Amino acid sequence: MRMFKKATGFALAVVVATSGCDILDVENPNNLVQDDLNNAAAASAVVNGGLATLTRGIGYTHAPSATVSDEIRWIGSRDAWNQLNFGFVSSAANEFTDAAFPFINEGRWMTDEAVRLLNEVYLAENPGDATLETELGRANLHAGLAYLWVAENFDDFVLSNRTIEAPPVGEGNMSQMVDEAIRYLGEAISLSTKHGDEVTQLRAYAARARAHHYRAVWGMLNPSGSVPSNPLVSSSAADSDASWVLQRIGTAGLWRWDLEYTNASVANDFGFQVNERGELAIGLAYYSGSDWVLMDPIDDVADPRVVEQGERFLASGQYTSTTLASGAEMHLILAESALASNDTDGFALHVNHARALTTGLSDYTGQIPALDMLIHERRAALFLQNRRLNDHYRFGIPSPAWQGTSHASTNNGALQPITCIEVRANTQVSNAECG
Amino acid sequence: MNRDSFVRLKRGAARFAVGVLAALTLAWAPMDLAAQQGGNIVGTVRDGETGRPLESVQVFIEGTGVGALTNAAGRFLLVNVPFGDVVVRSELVGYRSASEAITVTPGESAVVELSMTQTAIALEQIVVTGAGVATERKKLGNTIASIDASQLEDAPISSFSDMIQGREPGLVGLPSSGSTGEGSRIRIRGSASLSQSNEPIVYVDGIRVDRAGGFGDNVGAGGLGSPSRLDDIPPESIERIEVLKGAAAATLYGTEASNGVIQIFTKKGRQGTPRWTLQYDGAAIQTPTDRMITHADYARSSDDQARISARWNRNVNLYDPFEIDILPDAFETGWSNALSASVSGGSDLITYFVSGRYANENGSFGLSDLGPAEDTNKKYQASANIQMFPTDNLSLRFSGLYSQVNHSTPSNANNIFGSFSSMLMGQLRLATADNLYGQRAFATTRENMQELIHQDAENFSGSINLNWQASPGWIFDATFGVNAVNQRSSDFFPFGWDVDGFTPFFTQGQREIDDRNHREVTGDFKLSWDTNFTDRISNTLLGGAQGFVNETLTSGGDGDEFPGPGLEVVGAASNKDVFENYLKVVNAGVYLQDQIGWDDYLFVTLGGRWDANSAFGEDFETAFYPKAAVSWIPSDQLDWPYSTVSTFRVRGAIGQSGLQPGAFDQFTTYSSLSSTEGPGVAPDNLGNPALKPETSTEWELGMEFGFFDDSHSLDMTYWNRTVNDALVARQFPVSGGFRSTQLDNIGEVQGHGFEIAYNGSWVNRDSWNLSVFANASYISEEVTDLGGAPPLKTGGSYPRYRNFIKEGYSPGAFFGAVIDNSKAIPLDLNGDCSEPSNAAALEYFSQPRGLSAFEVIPQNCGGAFLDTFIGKPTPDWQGSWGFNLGFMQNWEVSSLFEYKYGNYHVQDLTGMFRQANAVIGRNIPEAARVGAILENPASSAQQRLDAALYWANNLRALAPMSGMNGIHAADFMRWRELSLTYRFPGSLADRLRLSNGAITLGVRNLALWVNDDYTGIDPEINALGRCSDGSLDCNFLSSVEAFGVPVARRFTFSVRFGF
Repeated sequence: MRMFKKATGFALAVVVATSGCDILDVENPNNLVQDDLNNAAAASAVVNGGLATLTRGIGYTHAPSATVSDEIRWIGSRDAWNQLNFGFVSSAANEFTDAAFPFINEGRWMTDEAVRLLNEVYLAENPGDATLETELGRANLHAGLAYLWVAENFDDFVLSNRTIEAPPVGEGNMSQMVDEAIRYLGEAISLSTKHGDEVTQLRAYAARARAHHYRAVWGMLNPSGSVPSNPLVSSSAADSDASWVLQRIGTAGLWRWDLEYTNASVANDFGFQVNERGELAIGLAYYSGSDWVLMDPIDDVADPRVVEQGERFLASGQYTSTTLASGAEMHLILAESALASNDTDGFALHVNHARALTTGLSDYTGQIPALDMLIHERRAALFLQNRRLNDHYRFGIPSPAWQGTSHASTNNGALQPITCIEVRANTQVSNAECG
Repeated sequence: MNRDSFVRLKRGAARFAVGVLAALTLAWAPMDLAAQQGGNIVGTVRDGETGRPLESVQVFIEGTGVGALTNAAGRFLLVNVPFGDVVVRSELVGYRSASEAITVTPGESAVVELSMTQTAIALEQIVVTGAGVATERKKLGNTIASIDASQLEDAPISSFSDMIQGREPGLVGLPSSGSTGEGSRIRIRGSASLSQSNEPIVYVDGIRVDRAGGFGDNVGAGGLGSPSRLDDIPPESIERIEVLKGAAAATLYGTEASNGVIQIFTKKGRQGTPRWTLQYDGAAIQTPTDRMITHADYARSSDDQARISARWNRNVNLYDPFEIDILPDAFETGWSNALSASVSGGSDLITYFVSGRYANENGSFGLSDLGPAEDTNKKYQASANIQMFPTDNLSLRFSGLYSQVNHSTPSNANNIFGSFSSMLMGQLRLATADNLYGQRAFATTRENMQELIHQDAENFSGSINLNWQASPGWIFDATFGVNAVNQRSSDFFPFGWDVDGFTPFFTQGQREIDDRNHREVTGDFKLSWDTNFTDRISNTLLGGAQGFVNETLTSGGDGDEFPGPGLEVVGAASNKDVFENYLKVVNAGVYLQDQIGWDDYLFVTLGGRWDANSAFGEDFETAFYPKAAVSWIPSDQLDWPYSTVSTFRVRGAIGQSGLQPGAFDQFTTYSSLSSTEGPGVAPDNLGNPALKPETSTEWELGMEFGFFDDSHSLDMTYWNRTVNDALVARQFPVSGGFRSTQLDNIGEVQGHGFEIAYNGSWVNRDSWNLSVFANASYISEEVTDLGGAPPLKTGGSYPRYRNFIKEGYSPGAFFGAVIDNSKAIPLDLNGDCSEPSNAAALEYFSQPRGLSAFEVIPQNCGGAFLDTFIGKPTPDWQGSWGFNLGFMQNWEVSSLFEYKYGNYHVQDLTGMFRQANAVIGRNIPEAARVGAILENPASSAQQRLDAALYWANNLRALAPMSGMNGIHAADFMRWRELSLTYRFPGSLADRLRLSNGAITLGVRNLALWVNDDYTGIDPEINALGRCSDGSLDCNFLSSVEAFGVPVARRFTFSVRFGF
């Protein structure tokens, strides 16, 4: 029978071949195949692909984290947002964290893959190529950003490769994600400095400042479960990178690194849920629906930074940008470091530099306790920038929407989990909630 | 009768018909017939039950060579009949022969009226599909169903979807909703595939046609109101439909045939003068509202009281629930008109059948005073079938079908912009003049009625068939044809569609378009050799080759933010996105089959097919599908004299067929995804070079009985199917970077079932007659192996859809949270899954509580509480029954009932929203009552506790308790068809110069009886409508009622004339 089948297959092939061409060999014009990516000409597309997938992943994961915080509230039809609003952030079955998880994984993998292809394929075939090394600098920046974002938003994570599954990193080891981010960003700084890519260089320094800062925050909040007695972070590495950035942009500079979403690239799911679908809205502590209500404690006016960023967000539809780093944040890193060292003058100096970036705000001269000032400054200057949830935890300020039985209330520091889509497919991950 | 004799008979009959028709022509001419050698007999042959004239009946004088065929009016003329006493006999396949003695005298034309009674069993019936060549049904070991369109002339049907609904056991039409233009999904013997389309493949006159449906990938009305391309086929052009129910029968169709095959044969012309048919069908369309639950709400504040007073003219107290029945506002009486005409005729050289149809429907969805959205469906349809006979042994047939469809539907279903959906979500206390039904999110109903969803489609099928009898016994048959579909769909929110200033969604407008161009090219060549080895042994050898090329080019785009009103093209939008996608699948196959017959009562068939397909992986060559079948007719072998069991046949068949993976599933691919810094690529498909078709192996055993001279029949079939190498859309860990599932041949699915059909003539008298039919099919399916892949869930991460693919369960089985009934107080008040004491619960409820403030305790609380098996979405048993009652010679009443029964569950997602959603739900009387008690400061703790328990046990639903209190037993029976027909008697027809005429009044979907447990509007509606792809949702997101409109009731009126 086997011979018969082969003979028939041969006969079919003959019939097909004699018909003029191999009509069974159908071209696919819709996609690239794997071999196409092994060509160094694809380097730019691969690096851009890393950025695009990461950008999309950030949008998807930003929405759940923001909804757990007091920045966002649920007003729509899908109750799983409400569960997040209530503080049930650790549920692996929540549809929105579960839907977001594949996207941030795609971004993480693609940025890693871009670095791998550049190192192991393109530059191996073209050693020292300046253009490729510049692309490698960008690729490292994206990968560093991916690891940092994951560390800031997840309690645990998995680093598999295609169909080869990996075990979880482990909740206690998530600091390694930050360390990996710092390593990638260091590579980005090195390569961008070597080839004069100032844009990448500046972004990488700013991102690394944030990474160093978050590394200390992570250590404060982990193991999760309790509010730290001293919420203040002091990191000399963060201070160094932040100072470098401020020196580059000038202390009064309005520099801001926005991750852009456009109709020509990818849309921001966070913006879509708020501005288009109407499932989410700005939290009532910030916006009543008609007025901005978060008041500046010094000038007793609606904080103009919240107003400016909020208006920009609401006007951008599904293409809202996400600020990844800014001069204001660099100042606040330095201000916090000073406050942690009881340097109140240094604290006020940097806080007032940050406030001076916005017209109409008076200097802080000790009107309220410095810690309260820092909390407010971070809340206002970093509004909708994905910092608020960890600040809730760090400063022991729960969102008013959190139910007493929620993960956020009962397990201070709880972030998004490895969700069921991964748990069910990966034999090395388990979670009773996912069956 | 062997193949050769059949062909000779056909040729002879054709020549005979020419003579008869010529004579008929003469009959109407003023000639002196008495000048001929014998006498004449004229007459009419009618169906004894329906009174319908029968065409192509052989009428002859026993013991002579005198004979004729009846024309379309059932009339015949016999000339040169010997004078004296003769017996006139009529014969037609599927009918018992009839005869009448008469005396023929010179100078007079004798008149005979013959009435023929259908036999309930038709083993001599000629079928084509699956056999390769025209074959009598008795020779086939497998099941083949045949739906005779002429039997449905009086039924209240308006589409192909209606034609197949409830006709055959195991063949199921799933109507999905009552939206105008909605097509039915079709399933035969359940679902053979976990990842490929479970729609059967469809042929029209020998060529493959598009079986798709919906609006395309880029446009969606919400899921419903989705047309089927099969409904582009005008029902009046269909002669019959043959159905192969599974792999055992469909082996010769090879790859793609494991879900069965439907072949549609269009009407052909017959020799004679032109015969015209005109038909008008009108309908009034009504949406049943009796199962819709009224809205309820209560005032929480004085502002609420003021709004309620202003909008509803009700003065209510705080926390005092009130009801307003707003849902009937959404519907009006719709209408439908269809006019069709056909002409057929021809000579011995050429015959023709040409038809045209215009149908226009404006459905029962109303709200036209709120906006321009509408539910309309307009069709222009034509068909032509021309046969030429250049020589005695050669025929050529050209057939074509063309349809143009213009279809509009309001936004609907599980969709925040659905018009009816928004009413279902209304909050009475929030209703105002600018927010008529109290929307709390997304858009008002008036705003939703601004959205326009439309589709224009053209569908053409054309084929050429050549049939050449090369020498006695040798026949070469070739068919070549193409089906071309151009379908353009759009979804348009005009600039400023926020007419109530409520919606935030793209208020400057948005438009999505989807342009789908589909081509299916079929080439089919076969050679058969029909011979008798001995007097007792006949043999038919068949070999052939088939090729299909299937191409789909989809393009489109979307744009939002128009600069101003009046702009209605994507190009005018500020933000634009375009896409283009091309798919091509090529299949080539050869087959060989031999059928040996012994004495016309025992037949054995062996065959096989080899397929190559462009979608097979690089590491896979060809697929081979074998078949074997036996048919044995003891009643013929033994020539037994028993009239009680007049016919008995046993049959069995085993065979394989397959389903290939998607066009490009074998490749590892990356899609285009741009960043703000330049064009980029993103992971797309993991790839699998070893992909091969999944193989369905099916065996079946059947018995057919004819009782009481075949006036009653019973047909029983057991079938058993195993799908090996089932293609599973496996989700690999997303941490590996690829989000998409990847097909892998790792699964196994098993199914088995029974099919039973009864037909019987209970009364057959001159004054009245009654025939009854009933059928039932039992099906059991189980996913036996997923090859280590995780369970698959419909709806992706959307938790409200609870159909799963899990090992050990029926495909699409429902899993979800179920209340822990072991606890007297299944309330979780502190987040630890522990049951509170009565005292603790009373203490908790000593103050007003919102419904979101506490949780219920599900089974397996704290673990995988969403994984409790609840039920399956397919019934154990389904089928239909009905009757035809003829009375007073010309009157007929027909009826059809359909049912689904046994372990059948439907998810009432609409109800779950209305029970439990904190923002857009809790608007049914029970939810309003419970909410008011819990929030009312005047309530006692015990009252609140009682309300909370009622909430837990009956109303709590949605996240995180997805699946709870919403999936119910939904066994039902629907009175699908009822019709009353008056058929013109011959005298009236003659006076009107007609050959026939009939008037029919009918009702479709007259009544519905549902299991009391079911809370929804209609268990037949579904979250998704007519889709046809192999996606998990299209296949298994089933029996989920989600904001759809119920199946509509149609009161029909038809008039049909032939002349």
